[in-house]
Amino acid sequence: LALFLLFICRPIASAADVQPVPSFTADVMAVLSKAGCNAGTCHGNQNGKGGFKLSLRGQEPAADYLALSRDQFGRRANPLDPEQSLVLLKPSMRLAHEGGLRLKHGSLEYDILRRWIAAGMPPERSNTPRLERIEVQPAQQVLVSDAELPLTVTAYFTDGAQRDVTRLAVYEPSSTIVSVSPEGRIRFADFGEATVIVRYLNEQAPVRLAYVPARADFVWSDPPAVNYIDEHVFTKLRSLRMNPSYLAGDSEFIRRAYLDGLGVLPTADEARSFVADQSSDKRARLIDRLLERPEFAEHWALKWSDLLKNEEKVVDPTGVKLFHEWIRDSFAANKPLDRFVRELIASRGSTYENPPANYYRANRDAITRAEATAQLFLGVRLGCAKCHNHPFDRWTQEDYYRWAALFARVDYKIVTNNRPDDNDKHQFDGEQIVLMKESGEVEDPRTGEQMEPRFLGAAEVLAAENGEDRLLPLAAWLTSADNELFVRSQANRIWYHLMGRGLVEPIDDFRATNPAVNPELLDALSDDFINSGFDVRHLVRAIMNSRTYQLSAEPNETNRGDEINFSRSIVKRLPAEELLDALSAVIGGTHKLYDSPEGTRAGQAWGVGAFQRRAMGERRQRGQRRPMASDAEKFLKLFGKPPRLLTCECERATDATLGQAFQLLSGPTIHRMLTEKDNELAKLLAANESPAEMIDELYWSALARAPTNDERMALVQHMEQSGDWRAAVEDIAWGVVNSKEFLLRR
Amino acid sequence: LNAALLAVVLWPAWHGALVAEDFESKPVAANSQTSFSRQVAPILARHCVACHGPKKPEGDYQLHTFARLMKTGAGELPAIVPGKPDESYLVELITSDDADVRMPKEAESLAAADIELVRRWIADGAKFDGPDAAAALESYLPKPVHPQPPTTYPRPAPVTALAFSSDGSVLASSGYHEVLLWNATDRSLVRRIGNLAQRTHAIAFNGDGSLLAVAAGTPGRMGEIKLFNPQTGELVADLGTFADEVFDVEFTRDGARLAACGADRTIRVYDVAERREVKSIEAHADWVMAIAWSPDGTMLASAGRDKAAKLIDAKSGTVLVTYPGHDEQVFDVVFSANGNQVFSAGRGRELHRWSTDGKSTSKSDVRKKETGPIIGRTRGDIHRLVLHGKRVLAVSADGKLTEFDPARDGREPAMVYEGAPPQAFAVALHEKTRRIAVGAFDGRVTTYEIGDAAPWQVFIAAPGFVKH
Repeated sequence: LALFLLFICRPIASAADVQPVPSFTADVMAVLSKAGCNAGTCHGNQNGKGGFKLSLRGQEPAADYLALSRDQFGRRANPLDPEQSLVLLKPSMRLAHEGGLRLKHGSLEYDILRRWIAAGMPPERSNTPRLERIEVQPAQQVLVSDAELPLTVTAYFTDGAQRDVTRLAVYEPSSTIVSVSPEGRIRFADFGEATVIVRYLNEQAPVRLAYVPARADFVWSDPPAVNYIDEHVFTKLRSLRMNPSYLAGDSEFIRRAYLDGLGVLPTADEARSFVADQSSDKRARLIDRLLERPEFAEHWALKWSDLLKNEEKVVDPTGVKLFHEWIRDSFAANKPLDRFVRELIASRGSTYENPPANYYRANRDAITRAEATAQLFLGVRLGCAKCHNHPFDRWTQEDYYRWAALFARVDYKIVTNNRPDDNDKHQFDGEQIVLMKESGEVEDPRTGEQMEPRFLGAAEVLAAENGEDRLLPLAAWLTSADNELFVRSQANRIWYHLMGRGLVEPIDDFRATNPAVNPELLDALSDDFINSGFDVRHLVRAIMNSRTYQLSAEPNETNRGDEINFSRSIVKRLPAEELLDALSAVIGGTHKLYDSPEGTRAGQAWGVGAFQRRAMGERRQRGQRRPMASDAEKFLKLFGKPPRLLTCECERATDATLGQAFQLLSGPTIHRMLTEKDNELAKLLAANESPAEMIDELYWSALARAPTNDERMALVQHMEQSGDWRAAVEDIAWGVVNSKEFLLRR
Repeated sequence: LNAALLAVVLWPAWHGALVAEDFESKPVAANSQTSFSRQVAPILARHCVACHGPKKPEGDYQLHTFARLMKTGAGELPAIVPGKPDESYLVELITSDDADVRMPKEAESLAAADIELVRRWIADGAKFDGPDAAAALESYLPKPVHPQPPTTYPRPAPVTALAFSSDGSVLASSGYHEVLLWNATDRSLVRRIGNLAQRTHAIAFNGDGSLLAVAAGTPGRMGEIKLFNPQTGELVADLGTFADEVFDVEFTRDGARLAACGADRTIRVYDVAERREVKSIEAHADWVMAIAWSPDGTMLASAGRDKAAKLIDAKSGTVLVTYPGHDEQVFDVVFSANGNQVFSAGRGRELHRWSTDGKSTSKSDVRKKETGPIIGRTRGDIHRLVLHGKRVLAVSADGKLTEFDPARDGREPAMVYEGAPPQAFAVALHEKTRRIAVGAFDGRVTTYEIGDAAPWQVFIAAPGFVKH
């Protein structure tokens, strides 16, 4: 009877195992990712954990196959009795596991791993179809009344097969307001926007989500759209049940337009006459005037000098000045941005005679050049792919080294080098010739194989004869209107500098998993930029004329929570140079700034004073100390002026610190400026009869508005009660420049 | 067909036997006296020690010995207050309703019966009834009843250990919960020796063939060293139980002593006649993968997962040499025939030779091409080494058995034995009968005649296994 029962029972007991054997790459690898086993903090760590190492996020299935099935003499898996496998006992916490509970006993994930072990851990057959892409439904959604939403993830394979992998995909929300169940069900805990990155094997896709209050009484304010920018911004705001703020007043607008367009404040006269102007097109005319002013080019030369690492230690003081002039003149002449970039990439020759060659002077090896070029001109942070395939993007290590190979043949002839410190090999002072060697390759450090060059994301390697220049075809490919990453990253950079936040943010981190907050707008801006022939002024004009740009910073009931959709103007502390120049314009005073001649504004200065040049002809003196930085130079550093060592916008500190507050309240720079004898305050006292006139003038120059009646009365009273008008004006100016209204761009 | 049918009939029965492997403690009658060593220690060992053990004591609480358990941790609350379960922090933690507080962390709560046992043991006065309060819990846990090995193997088990008997007539191989003895000539099954942990990692015969030593373990749970009578299969002695697998075991040439090592990072030396441990040596920072006796029985060489190979005085336990040349895990060590040199190899795919006088190598010498210590290279991780006269054979993950002659110039292999499957884990060699055996992950044993690169015999070391 026992024998009989065994025969009966056996098929029933095995019914559960009739399911197909899980695939190692499509199922088991997905489980390792889903359970987090191969995360960087766990077994995906470079050194593994507890002696068990998996490839980071499952990039190397072949190595993981061996680690699971064979490593440490086959210790981890037990096909003879699958439930007794260490890789099942530990993550299900039936055996203590430092990583905690990762696979619930009996869960679908557990079962996949168990069944694969029970089947004898079959490896993947070599002809197994590869995963081509994944598709997530919906790809974007605004949730209005229901905080939950199920996602569906479909995987497409090279043999045409489709498979629902919702249950196996990994979900990574960008914000803590969202959680996702293992079954792919989104749940918002609070109103707001979030992106969920959906990952299955080596493919990722973002889902953009917003959860907005129902606002039954919401009425769209229907603001007039000036151009395509407003149409795209307003379409999104309306879908989020959010009204944009009202239009900024004239004073708020002119101060913003001058600071964003030129980096300086409007003078009291400019502000007064603009506000007084009654014509309806006065804002558009003002924008046109600003675009023609020399400060426009200086303003952009400062931004690009930061990014192009235009600093004295490597580029040298002469080079810094020449490189800055070349950038400034390029913007002054409205050189199309694609040409500007082509000239940098294809540059060579003397760094003194052909200043764009300083791009390569500043980036001194193939790896640095490759990373800088990707970051600056494609908006791609490639660095991760140096050591392993990029975890959040499509770039592989192969992509990385093939891209670096494009820059392998840049070389230098050092004509002279008068560096004061011979021990510092990274310092140069003197002319250099950037040239192209006939040979020079980059090796893949894993295999030692020489990498043929390939454009980033291109299918084919660069078909170039040996010895042929690689940078000329690169310059053409890079700046082509077909190069989406180039066009978008550059349009986004211009948008960022005017709006205070990129449509893609950070602006040098374009990737599928970091989608634009308004992709339709980024597309439209990019198209406009291409159609204008990469005309920077055209794009700046389009943005500044939009109602979106001209909105007030004041929130309303519906957009109070919004930080990212441009429903109101973004309030920011003035950057270092703009702040010092604004203080100088209101209070007066001159500064010693690096090598620049007296009277140079901080926004015009070309260098950062990385080292001080010796006087020409002076004998080399070892141990000579650098001159002390001036108080104004220290002021700029304190307020975040970057030292230009990185090709990253992030090098400029934009935060507010206690040190900054002390500097403004009682620092040496502010004190010197206020008390300097022939400063603007002295002129104010000389040119005006009454305290009221003086106060009006001070307000217009600092804040682009007249004082309110209350302000005027109180300040006039302060002056009249004071025996010393100069001291009283100093007090009042000190008070005004310490106000938020002065320190912030609104 | 018959064998397949038999497998189908017997498989469920065998599977049922495995259930006993869950080392759950048996329920006790409410009025009986509780026992720390038999009832409480198994619960602690299984659920707590991984995080509150000797390595990194989370929250400063350690539970791997009784003495540690009774000490107060960082919370300044005594884990155990004898007689008062409700004042004992341990009880508070294992019974908490708050999943963030409850231990074990991120796991289901302990079984109600286990919690009740802990409470009752504390209420009974938290008395210690083990042999040594400072000893690891695993050393005196009740011996688990190992499941029966499969009558017929539904699939082969990886061959992780091989050994020839002293006269070369028998080849012993690792099975699943057993060691298998095969006739070395006609490969018929001579005997099955059961009552062993899951995996056997090393098998050693003593010089006169009267004893068979087995190093075994169940991954992540326990390890053991057992002595058997190879003629009868009878258990002669159980030398000890450890926290995790034991990887190697070796007799001195005279058979008087035995050394073993494993995942608990220790090397242990036993007096064979007295069946007792005479020395425990902690010289490595990670698992000790292999040990070897010097020919005169005074020194031990060891291979560590900590990327070190060492030479140790067996009597005092003093480390005489730490060889610095390996950049990767070291899997095996052997002494040269005269005992003046040690060969070591592992994941680095290089065979290193270093001298026992301690003068041999500084780290900077390792990569020197002509004079450096690397005397050979393979294309796969080297899993095991075996000595053949003055030569060394290395079995590697690519299935090759490569013979190196240290005296030869040029460092090319003297010969390569081909035809074993990849992931070859074990090797044994018998000089007199001129036999070599290589065992692999897929259960195959490939045997060779010394000097002939082609296999002599191939068989799957899994009784009853029928390939479909």
